[in-house]
Amino acid sequence: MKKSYAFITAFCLLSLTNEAEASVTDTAQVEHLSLWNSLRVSESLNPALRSAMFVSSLSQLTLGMDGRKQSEAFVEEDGTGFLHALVGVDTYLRLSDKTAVWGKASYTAGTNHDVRWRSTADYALLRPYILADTLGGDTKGECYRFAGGYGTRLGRFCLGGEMEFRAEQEYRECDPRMRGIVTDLTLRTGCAYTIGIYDAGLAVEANIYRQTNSVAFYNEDGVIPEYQLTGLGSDYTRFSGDKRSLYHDGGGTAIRLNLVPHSCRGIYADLMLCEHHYERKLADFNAMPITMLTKERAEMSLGWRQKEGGANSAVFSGVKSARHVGDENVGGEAYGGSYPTIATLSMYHYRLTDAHLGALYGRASWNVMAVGGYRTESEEYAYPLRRMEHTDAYAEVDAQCFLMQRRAVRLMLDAQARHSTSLRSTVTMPYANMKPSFTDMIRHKERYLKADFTTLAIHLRADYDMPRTTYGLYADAGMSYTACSVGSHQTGARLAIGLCF
Amino acid sequence: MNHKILITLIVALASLMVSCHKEENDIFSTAYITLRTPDSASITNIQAQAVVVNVNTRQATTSSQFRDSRLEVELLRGAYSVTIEGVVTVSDGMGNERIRQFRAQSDYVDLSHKTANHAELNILYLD
Repeated sequence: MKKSYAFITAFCLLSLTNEAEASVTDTAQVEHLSLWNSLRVSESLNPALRSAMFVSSLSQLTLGMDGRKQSEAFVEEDGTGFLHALVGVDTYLRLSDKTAVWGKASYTAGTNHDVRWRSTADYALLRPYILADTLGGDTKGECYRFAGGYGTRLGRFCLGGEMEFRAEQEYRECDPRMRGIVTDLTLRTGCAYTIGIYDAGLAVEANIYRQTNSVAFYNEDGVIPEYQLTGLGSDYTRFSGDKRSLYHDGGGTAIRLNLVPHSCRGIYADLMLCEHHYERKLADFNAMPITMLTKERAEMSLGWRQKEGGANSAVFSGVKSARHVGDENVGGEAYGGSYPTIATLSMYHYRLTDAHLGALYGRASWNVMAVGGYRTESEEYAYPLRRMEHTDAYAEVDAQCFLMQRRAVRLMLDAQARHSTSLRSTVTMPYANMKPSFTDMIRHKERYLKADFTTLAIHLRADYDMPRTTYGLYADAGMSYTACSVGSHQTGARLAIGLCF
Repeated sequence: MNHKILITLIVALASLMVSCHKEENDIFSTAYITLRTPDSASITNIQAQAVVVNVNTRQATTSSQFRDSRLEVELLRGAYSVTIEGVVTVSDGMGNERIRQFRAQSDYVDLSHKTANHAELNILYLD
């Protein structure tokens, strides 16, 4: 009985797939949502090349929810999970054969659960130079994003520009009442020049960032110290405790070079170099800068891709390298409510190297991509010496399928599996001289540093074209599960409905 | 010609970006703290312990490595408070020697330079 069910199910799925493969014509959804576009991420960040990325226009109005829950926080600063609601609009409009405009506006609001060791928003960007306490708790947040761009072709040249703006605040409504208000503006401009079957692109980017960060206590008996963290469980003791008002000022520049084939096949390559600085300043002491984080990143990829005869195929490789240097300003003798900087010491160093190889194969209605890579990360605090290093190997398979493309209701199914395994990890810490709470925090990081992670995710999207209109409705649902070798796990779910036009 | 200009521009921009940040990895320095007597007497012998506390990190370093009246200690560059307590043998220049208890203290000493971190502390006799 079971065998016959399995046979019928397999036959139905095969019939659907065959029907799709036989009859599919690229709808806007297929073109914009295809896994093929993951090979073109770098290209999409040059506004000149982005103007030629898609033939069709697609606009989407989305209303959705996104949630994640971990049985124990993988990263304590990120909390054990979140539940966010989102409303947004995303559009790519082809105005003519040569010109395209695109834009995005969204509002996200929600709660982050059980955040610890972080009283500053944007942890991933500013770590380790954040304000933190041992208590933590749930935080609420809201984020507005706006982006818009324009690109056009002028003979052999393509020119384009775009702007992205983010305004975000994260806050807590009980002690310790952290608040981080972020403004983040990025301007990008690019050009491309056609040489034979290739477009050679150059894009430059400038970013300005500011966060106003503070922590308040309404209950006078419950005041606890806020630490000015300086990395790997160390803190700037002189300004820790009751110095709870900060500015994080930053920004930087990036340059990106691309070589992409504008025909159906060819090699593609890109190189990106960027440098950003983030300065932490004490608001109560004439904006005295106490630390500066410099982040340098280089990314390079090289691949070959072909899209002809109804088949997609690509092989690609990439290398990422990042270096972060943290400078601490040594405060001198207080004079008139401010501290002069008498020296600057580079105390914190972070290095990342990630190399990967991958391949993609597919037809018009399905794609399968496999990536394998090697990643090594090291963090060091100079004195007293603290060091954490780890090396991981990872593999990822992503399969995507577009079903029933000629029917009123079309489906997109995406399944992903990823595994990362720790090959080597070393930790050097002066545990004997550390505060017990800091020791617990570092031991937690150490446990997850040595862990293996396995993730399975599935994502289903259904599109319905409303008859006699250019509008369509869609529903999008995704689920993911991550198992960690330390015994904890994460479940994620997202649900969205929307209007396409 | 245009290509050459473009390539030069790209290389120049890339070089500018990767060469912007200068690291300061000389984080340690040798500090020389000299004790000064309030009178014209000279220190002939000293037995004392110095506690040098980094004002910014609150890390304390103790040392009793005195040579004559000078303490030499390897420290993280920064601002320090220094407390020295012990006994000294002082000579008045007429051949008279006396052993005296003393204390020397300063809440702020700048020892942030890469070289030539010299500081002088006045001693206070406790007997």
